[in-house]
Amino acid sequence: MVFQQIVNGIIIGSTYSLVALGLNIIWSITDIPDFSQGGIYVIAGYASYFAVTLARFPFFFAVLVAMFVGGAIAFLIERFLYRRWRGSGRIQLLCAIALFFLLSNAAILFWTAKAKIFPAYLKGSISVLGSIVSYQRLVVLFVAAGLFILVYLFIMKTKIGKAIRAASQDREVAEVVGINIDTVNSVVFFMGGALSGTAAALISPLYAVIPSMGDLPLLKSLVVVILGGFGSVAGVLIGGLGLGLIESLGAVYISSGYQHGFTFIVLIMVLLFFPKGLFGKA
Amino acid sequence: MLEVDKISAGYGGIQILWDVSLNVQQGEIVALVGANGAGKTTTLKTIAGLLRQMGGSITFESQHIEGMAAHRVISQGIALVPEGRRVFPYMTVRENLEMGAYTVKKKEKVQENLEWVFSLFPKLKERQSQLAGTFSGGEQQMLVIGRALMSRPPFLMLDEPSLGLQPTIVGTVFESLKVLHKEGVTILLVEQNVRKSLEIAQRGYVLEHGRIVLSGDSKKLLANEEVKKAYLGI
Repeated sequence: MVFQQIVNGIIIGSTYSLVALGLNIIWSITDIPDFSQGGIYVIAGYASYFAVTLARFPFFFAVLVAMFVGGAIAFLIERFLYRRWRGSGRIQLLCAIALFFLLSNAAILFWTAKAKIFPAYLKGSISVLGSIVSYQRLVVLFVAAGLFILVYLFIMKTKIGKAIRAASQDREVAEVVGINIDTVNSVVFFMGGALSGTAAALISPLYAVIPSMGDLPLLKSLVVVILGGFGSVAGVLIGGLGLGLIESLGAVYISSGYQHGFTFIVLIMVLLFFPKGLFGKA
Repeated sequence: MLEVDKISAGYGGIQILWDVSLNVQQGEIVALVGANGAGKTTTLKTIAGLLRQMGGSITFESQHIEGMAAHRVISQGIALVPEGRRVFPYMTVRENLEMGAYTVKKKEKVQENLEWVFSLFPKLKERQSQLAGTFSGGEQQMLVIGRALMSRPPFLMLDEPSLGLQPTIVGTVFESLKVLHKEGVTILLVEQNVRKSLEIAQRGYVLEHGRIVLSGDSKKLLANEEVKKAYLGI
């Protein structure tokens, strides 16, 4: 029973980590707490659903579709909205919040508020130490882990990845050494949107595709960024998994009614005792 | 090499520079001196493209560079060492240096420039895998100069390289500028340390309240009564 909850917690936590990873990179480089990622998550969730049901794509191809749709929307939002308001953080923040509602509500407008049930793409489960874990849940875990490693290698090892880190540490000096901040922003937003989109596609078959599906992941990944600390990839991973664990264990051992409340109790505790986040740099 | 003609610039509508003109010839060290707030940093930032000038023109090697985006200015051969030892603190020394060569396409060229910088600052080689944020002030100053040199720029601008360093290290920094000059790098040096910078420069400009008030041979400037009174405390 405990083990079952731990597994569930890690799996749900890994999707928080994915969204939070994108948010954190965007936030630390552009100073935009990009709430629109919550809306992008919804649109990408529907994109994966339609890719499977209408276009009859295999599930893994649908994940790629969601990844691309998420990345493209975020790229366009940065290119045509945030970039215009660079230097006016409050306007960017308002745009981000407005876009979150706009995209989520667009989903209601186009596809109604009724939940759409994702057909199972992989049946069966395995038994690990007496707990049953469906293959679909395992896929979430492995894809999330794979993406984390890829993003980490990209940021640490590639030239553009290093430029992204440099820009997050000192934007002006990055420009002086010849880094085009516009390019960095485009890459970062595409990556952030792609991560949100992937998380949505991975989680959709486990729950349902619904216009409000982005609300909790958005709020929780914002909490994960604050928990883990700005600019820390490891912090996001540990913060996300930790949050998933606390939620699923708390739901069983304290009360499932408070499941989503635990997130914010943890947030308040961390802010009281570690104002920089657990692994924060700034 | 560099010709700045009557530039005006400022921040958010507040004008700081008024018709500043200066030039730097190939092979020179030119000092731009003045008190805090005189507009020295603003001048460098405008040349580097970090600030849009309100008027005037800037040419480098007879190319107009005013209004050019900062990330493109470096490709013209102009490198800037910004004020305040701004390393990328969470990157290693080596990564900091690699970022300095961001515009250098060929890998062999990057390696060659890296060897050159290591030969100038051997300490950077010893500590190349250390995080730059853990360096002392003097080491960070060496690193930011080394980073700016990684594009092998013919022209280097330095903003207050001696500010906030302990006196023994200040000497080392000025020594390394002399070495760079011998290596053929043309230098525009902005300093509050008027005496030391005029001592290594051939020519100097004195900036006051955003205007050039004096210029000429640096020995003559050092002997100038006004300069003595205002900046050398004699």
